[in-house]
Amino acid sequence: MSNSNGVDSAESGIIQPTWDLETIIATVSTNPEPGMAISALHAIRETLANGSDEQLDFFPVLPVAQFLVKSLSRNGTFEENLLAARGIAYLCESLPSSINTVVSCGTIPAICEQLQGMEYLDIAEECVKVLEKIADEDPLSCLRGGAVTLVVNLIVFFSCNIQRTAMSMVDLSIGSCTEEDASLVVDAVPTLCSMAKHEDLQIADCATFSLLNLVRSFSGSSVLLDELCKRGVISTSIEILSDLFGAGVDERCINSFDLLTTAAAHSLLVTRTLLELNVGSIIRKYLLLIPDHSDIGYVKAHVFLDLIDVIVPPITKDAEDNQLIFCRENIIRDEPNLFFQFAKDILSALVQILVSGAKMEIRYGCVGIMYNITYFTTSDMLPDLMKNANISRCLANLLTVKNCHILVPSLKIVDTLMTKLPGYCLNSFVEDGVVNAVDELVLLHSAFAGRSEARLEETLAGHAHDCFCDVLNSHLISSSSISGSCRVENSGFVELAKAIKATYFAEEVISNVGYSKTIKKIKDSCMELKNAVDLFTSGVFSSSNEANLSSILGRVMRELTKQDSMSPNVFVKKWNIENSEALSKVFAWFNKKISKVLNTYQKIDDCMPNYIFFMDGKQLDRSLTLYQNILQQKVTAKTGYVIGPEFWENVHKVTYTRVEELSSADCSELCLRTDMSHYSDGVALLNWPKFLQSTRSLLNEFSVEPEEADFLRDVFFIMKIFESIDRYSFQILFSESKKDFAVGKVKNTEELVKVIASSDVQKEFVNAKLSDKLEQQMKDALVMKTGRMPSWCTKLMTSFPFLISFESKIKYLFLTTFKSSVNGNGRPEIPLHEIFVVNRTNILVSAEKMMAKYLGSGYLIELEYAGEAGIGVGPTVEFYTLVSHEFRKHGLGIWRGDFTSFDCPAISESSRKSLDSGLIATCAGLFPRPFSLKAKSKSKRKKTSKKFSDVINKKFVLLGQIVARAIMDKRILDIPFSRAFYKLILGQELDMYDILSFDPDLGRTLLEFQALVDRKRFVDANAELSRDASIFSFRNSRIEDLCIEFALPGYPDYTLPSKRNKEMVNIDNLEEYVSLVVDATVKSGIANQIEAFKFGFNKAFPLEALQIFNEAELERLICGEATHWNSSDLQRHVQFDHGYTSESPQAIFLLDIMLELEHDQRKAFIQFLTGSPRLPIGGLGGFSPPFTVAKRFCLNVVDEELPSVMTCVNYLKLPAYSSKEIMRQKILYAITEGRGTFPFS
Amino acid sequence: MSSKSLSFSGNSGCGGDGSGVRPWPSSTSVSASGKRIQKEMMEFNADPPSDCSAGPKGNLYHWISTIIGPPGSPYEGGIFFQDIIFPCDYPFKPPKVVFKTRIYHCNVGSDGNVSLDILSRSWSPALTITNVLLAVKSMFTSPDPYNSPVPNIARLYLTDKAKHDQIAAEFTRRFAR
Repeated sequence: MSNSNGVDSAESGIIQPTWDLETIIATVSTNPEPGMAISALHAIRETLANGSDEQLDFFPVLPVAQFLVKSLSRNGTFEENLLAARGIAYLCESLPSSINTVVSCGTIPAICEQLQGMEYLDIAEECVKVLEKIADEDPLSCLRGGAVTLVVNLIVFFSCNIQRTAMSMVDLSIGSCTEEDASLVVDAVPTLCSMAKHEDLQIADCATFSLLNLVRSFSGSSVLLDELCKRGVISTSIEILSDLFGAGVDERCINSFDLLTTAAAHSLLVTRTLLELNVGSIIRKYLLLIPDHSDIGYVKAHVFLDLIDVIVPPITKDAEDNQLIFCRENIIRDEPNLFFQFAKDILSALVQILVSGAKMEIRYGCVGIMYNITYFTTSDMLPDLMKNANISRCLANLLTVKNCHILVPSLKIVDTLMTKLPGYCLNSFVEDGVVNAVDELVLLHSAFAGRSEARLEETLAGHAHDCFCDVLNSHLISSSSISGSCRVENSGFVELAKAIKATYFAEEVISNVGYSKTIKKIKDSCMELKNAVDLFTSGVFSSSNEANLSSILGRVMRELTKQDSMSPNVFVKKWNIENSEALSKVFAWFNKKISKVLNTYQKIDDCMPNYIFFMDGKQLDRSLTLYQNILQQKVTAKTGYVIGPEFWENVHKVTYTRVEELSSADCSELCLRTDMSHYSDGVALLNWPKFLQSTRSLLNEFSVEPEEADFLRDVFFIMKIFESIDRYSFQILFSESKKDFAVGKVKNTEELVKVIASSDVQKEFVNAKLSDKLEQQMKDALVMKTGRMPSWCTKLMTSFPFLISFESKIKYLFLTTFKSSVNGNGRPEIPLHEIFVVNRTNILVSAEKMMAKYLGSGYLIELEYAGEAGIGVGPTVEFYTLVSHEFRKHGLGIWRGDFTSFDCPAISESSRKSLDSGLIATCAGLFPRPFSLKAKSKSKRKKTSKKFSDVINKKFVLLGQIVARAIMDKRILDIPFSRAFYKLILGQELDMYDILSFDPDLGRTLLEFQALVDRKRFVDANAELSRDASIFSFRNSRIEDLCIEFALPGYPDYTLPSKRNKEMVNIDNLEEYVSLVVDATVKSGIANQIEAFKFGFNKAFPLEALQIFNEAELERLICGEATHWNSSDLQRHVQFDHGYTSESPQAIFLLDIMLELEHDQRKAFIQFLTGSPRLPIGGLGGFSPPFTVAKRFCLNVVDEELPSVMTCVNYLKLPAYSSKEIMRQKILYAITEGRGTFPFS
Repeated sequence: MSSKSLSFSGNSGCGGDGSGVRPWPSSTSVSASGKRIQKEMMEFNADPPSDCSAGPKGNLYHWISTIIGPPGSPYEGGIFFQDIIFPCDYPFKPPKVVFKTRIYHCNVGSDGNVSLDILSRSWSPALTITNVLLAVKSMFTSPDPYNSPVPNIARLYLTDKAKHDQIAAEFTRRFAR
């Protein structure tokens, strides 16, 4: 405004008090000179902006407004219009009461006219401000004046600030929109949709909210909703939801869900569109947040559930809504594929929530929805759905919940499923214990039949406030009943259960299910077994009894494999080949029994047997609730006590003490492990009495009925035997064939070692139900606080750890050993941080210092490298990797295969140097090299030897400390220990067979030698047999011809404790040779090192705590998952954010490239990303926070930039490369060159 | 622990007299395998396989051997040198055979390492260096393309044997004469 100064100064003289404004306006209107009008406008502005209260009180609103509108609408100059617009804005702001007058003067049409013209942005912006003011007071006139559409159409031209104002105006106007006004706003919808995805949060929030309001106002008319849907409201909301995912559940997200729910509730087109847009996958994502985030209350959870509830119509038909529901059902029937996808997504999520132990209200909602979905699925979809989500297991779980609100829908689901797909479901129901659970319900009822009805209700219905009927009726569709009254009859479920049992689960039907026959046979055999065992334990330990037991077990196995001539070792063989079939039968049966136990001892886990509670010095009665206890005390103290307000105001202090374990001796015996020192008799020598004892003692904890206990004991017993057989299958098989060789049935030693690849069936032993039970127990508040588990858990873990899943075991370890609960999100409460500076050039020294300082402390250690900027999780993770590599280097002299076996004089010094930097290459894993304390004759040597052994032991102490600390801090080491070494950590004794696992060549030869020894023994014992030399030949040569010196192979410094040193090995001293070599390799030769390791480890926490794991699990715990991923892992676990979506071309390139990386490149990639070359426990999905890829914005040419990472949060910043090839090059460059430092992060 | 003791890199391992820097307590004998290798050397010299020669190269654990390419094979007329290295736990572990002469063969890696079944999984202490050399010799006439460290050569051998033989002969002519 070039001349504004002039105008101002000219006018300043003639500006009059307010009452003169009227005069001025009158003058201007009669004298249409542009200059006059402008000065009048300035005067108005001045008065409004700077006028005193008195002036404003007597402000001539009407004439001024009329004048302003006139100036605005007249085809005046730019300046005039601008000042007029500004004037109205001031007027509205200073005198909100004047807005009505302003509107009545025709402001809105005038503004609309200006906006339509859109000649000057400044004027338009002022107009928007005016409109916002008006909309606040009188939204309807704004809307009806057609301003909304106009503003929305222009919104893209405005600056961000004005856009916010405009959106708030639109929001306000739409808030009062009704169905009649539809035509006024419908055109604005597409723009609103794009605004809802705006980067500016305020604008996006506003737009989303407007859309929600719009949907709400139109909810009466499906035609209008359809219109909205066509204009993209629904697809926008879906996009918003998928974009927002990961940012938490905020207001906007809830609004979007609300919008979809409301729209879908009233429009069929919306429902169909939602299905087409695959809304299931989005709801699923959000639903899966529930188990991990306890802060998502049931209000939020029900926002998600409501949407599903709307899409899948309820089954109970209400008269008024019949029409709509009918159509809904038609959609589902017409589009089976869409519905299938939806059901698949939702069901698996629901199952996860249900088994996770979410809040009762949420579970109730989930069960209801599950019922609706199953009701609408067709029988051809069901098998896939049930395979995808383990519905039957979930149902079995639900049926044990003592709450009729859960029970009734669960039973209905069972009913529906059985009607639709009797065959398939029956199998899985029997297997997962659903049938059993239904049985239990019926039994429960009959058990209560004699007692008062009230008691039953109390037990099952819980308390009155536990009614969730109102939880899921926020929408008209499902709320047919009067809210407040419980729709579920308490005993209704019993009838339902009875009906289901009678219809589907009759005894004869069940017994026809495949494995039930087998189960019955095992049952019979178990009875026999039990009798024999009783005899065995009560009577004398005679060998005939033992043989008897063995034969019965043999029979059990025969029946299992359904072949009559099957001896135990053939069974084991068969097991290895087709392990699943026979096993699954046993497990199905086992699962059934376990569920039975779990039902029975539900009552004991409520109280903690290990604690006594005191209040005010008095012990509390554990059979009563706390409330009852307090009440009882009051009443006994004073008769006629009335509960008044003071009862509730008093603070009662409850203390608890631990009850001393009475049967600690008992417990220690439980720890007895399978003693398999003699394999010669195969199965017969599995240590049965010990099994029995531990089983008994565990069952005592379950406080089951006596006859039940016997049966269960058999089950546990057999499981234990199977587990041991599985562990020792190789030994058993080998000892059998060795026996054959000894008596001459097998000619050649070569035949013996056709090694059977041991299959990994350990995970088949895991009982999901018991694991779930344990997990629930671990969520108990008291347990979490004290880290003490009830004794049944402890006993279960010491004697039957193989029944529990790996994940549960980890939680158990952390809870009981470190007293910290573990949830999905890593450390819940971050302990104090300690920063430790590490010298990169001397990692081991730093490690030693660090361990000395912090080993046993609860501090979380964070590291930084001297002279580098990086700090935090990344460098810490890398530190553990570096330490691991130090331990793997050549030249440390602690492992077998150091310098490889070629470390002989043959290798020159120079080539040896080149090896120094390398890591020990070993395919079978690291194992300590033997080392004897007894040095040879010369005293000088003795001294060096002593000194050397100290050095070695120190290394092992440090290694033990590192391993322990890594487990505590959940860091991952990159050390490939051998299986045998893990066995040692677990406190197991090694034998000849274990040599195979770290030195296959030596192990194989020793086994063959051992077979020869056995043959010689056999021949010596039977004098009549020929002693022809050829029968003692080793692969067609005599032992003497092998020309082996009587010394430890590869370690001539090791002194075998024998007089035969320097002799050659022959058939006569072979036995001693073999036993000494085995002893040196896996027993006395490494005993010191292992002691040192344990010593170091125990400083952090007791090594025994690890004994709940097996070797493979221990490896996973210490070293993380192997770097293995497939495309579905990638799809599931790699998230794209900030500029990328999973559809971006770069995202697709990246996943392709990750798939194509070689093993070593994958390791390098993971190391680049996280600092450790191994994936965390849980693989790609185990990252916390999840592995996320974001766009890196580049200043220069994109294709010349490199990707970068934030190792602490697993964040990959990837430039948007133009082609896959370039991306591959850059990634490979980054992962190979970028290692080893943290210069940038 | 001082940095000095940590930087200690024990030249671990057995045997090997003569290197004074070794802090490792070492025995006076070469190794437990010495007698066995000496025996094998005597046996080999008494009855060497045809077209083969072998013997220690200054050190009992490091042998050098030659094999003459058998007639009828593309390696005909070539003289191939190998290093044979005995591990210190010989004969429990197989020896390592490395071609010093360049050769185009699907069972010989680019670094000269020979991959043969009896030199890895099928090794047994009952085998001797004579068996090993015979196996290497028979490898010339019957390669094992299904157990090959150089898949390219193996593929060519299976798909176009004439071409393979031509290249192998060319290699023999250029490097093995």
